[in-house]
Amino acid sequence: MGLRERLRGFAARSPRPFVVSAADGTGDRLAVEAGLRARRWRPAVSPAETGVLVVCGHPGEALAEAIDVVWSAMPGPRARIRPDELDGIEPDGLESDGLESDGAPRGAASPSDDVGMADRADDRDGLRLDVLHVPLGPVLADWPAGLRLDLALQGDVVQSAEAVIVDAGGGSFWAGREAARRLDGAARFLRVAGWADAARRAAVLRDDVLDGRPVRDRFEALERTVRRSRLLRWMTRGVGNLAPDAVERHGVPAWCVGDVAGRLDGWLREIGAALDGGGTPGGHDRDEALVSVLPELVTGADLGQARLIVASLDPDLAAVTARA
Amino acid sequence: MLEVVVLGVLAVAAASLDAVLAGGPGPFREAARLLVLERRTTPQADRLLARIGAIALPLAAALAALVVPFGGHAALDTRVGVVWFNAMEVVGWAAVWLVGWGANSAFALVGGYRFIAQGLAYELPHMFALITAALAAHSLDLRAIGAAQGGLWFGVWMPVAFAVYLVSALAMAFWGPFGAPLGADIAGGAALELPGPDRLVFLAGRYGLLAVASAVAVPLFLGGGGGPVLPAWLWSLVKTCAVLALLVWARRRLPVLRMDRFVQAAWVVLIPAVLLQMLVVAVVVVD
Repeated sequence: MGLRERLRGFAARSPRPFVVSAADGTGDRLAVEAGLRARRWRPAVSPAETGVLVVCGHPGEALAEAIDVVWSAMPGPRARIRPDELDGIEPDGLESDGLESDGAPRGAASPSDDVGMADRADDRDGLRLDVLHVPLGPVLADWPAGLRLDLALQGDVVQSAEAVIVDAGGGSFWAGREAARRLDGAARFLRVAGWADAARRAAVLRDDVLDGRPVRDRFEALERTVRRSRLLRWMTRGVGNLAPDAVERHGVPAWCVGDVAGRLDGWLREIGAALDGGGTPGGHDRDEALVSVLPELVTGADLGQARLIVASLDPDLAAVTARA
Repeated sequence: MLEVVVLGVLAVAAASLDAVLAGGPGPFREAARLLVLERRTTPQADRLLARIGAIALPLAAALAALVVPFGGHAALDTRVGVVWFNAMEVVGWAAVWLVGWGANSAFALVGGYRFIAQGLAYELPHMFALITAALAAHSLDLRAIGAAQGGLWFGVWMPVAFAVYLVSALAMAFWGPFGAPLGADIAGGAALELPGPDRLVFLAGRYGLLAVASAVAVPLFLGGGGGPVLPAWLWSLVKTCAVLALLVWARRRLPVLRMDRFVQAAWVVLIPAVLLQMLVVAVVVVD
């Protein structure tokens, strides 16, 4: 048994899986997140840093294709597993020469990281700059399952955007689980905002709410922490401001009006109310409308802001009727 | 050279503490995982540039460690330790940029952009904070600055400069609230496409930079090796560990700062504040 095999055995006991979810994969994703926490493993933020891929739910044809492209470009030793197979990860038999092969690209690059062709156009300051066409999603951590935003970027500023629903349908996991839905949204939002501690607390609360454990006190503590964070408010105020007329133009629910900071505040209030057993806000979210406002909201924002904007609307495409 | 080795050990300790706080596997397991990961690259990547960048980061940290004193002794006997430290830290800019640029990947490139913007925000306040301490001690030698704080630590009577230094220490190691260049929102940013072993080297360099930045805070603002009972080198070590633990702890406790907002605060608030601090120090010292 050589050194390499020993290293591999040592490392295999704490893999770092990359988790991708289909529109109907929310339940699976929550199980995987809880499973990772219980094993003290951490998820990868990109498929490039790991060889273990977890696919949640049942991807439709288009999403399955995107996942295949990402999978073919992941580094070995690779394993592609279902959500219930965390304990039986069996990497493919990558031979030792694979370890030494110096970088011949295997398969295509993932759709999210290939720079592709650059052309040029005037930017907002009238400078002539390269335009990069970059898709955000659908295989991206802490991103709404099944969504893709096709961006034209100059530097890291979005010049134009188009929203595409890659995967949809299956019925929402969240029906009747309003508090848990918003806690999940908050957890992913906080991860996108780079606040790991608060995100972890929100995720634990979400799982406890779903299991019927009491969370009221811990939620209030988390709510205080988030509301008191001047840094978070500073970074989210005035970002992704949706004008009131969007309610009529796009048919989005009224809670979306305002900026990212306001929407997060709204979620916290909503979670509090739902935990008290009272006032579940009427109707569902018209998630298709949430997608339709994204292009105009992210145009002019930088990439970091665009991620926050999408996370603050958090469309659930499982609630959208699948299209042919 | 013992000082450099000690800082290397501290970097590993920082990675271990971070793993405990994150609830994840320790640094050795993660290192093994990265070592056995197959090499793969993006099409048309500039592998040479990316690799130079990945290696430059730990190299810069190690070279900066040469001038860090424990007690009254540093590995390299130089009278311009402050300048040397500052120069090595800026090598980190090139490292992150090369890694981000070399990958031929949009998110990695954006990570590189982010670090350059971050440099524009933190570097001037950082340099003024360094100069303030040097001014008070009439020396650019970190050992002399540490020894000049017999009565009162610089951190106590120049708190603005100390605070700015701590902020810039986080920023130079693109750590915690300044982690946007490697942000999760852009799938790992500049480091996105680094092959496993290169990623290991790069991330090790980041911990090294964090350890060195913590260790330099001690002679600059925390009285160097000064303290009762214990020998000077041990005091330096204890104080370094305290600063390092604080920086590691801060990582998960704060949201990430975006430079489109922070640059303004850095130039409108931090630079005037630290200049004012320098003026006060200059007046006191000349008297």
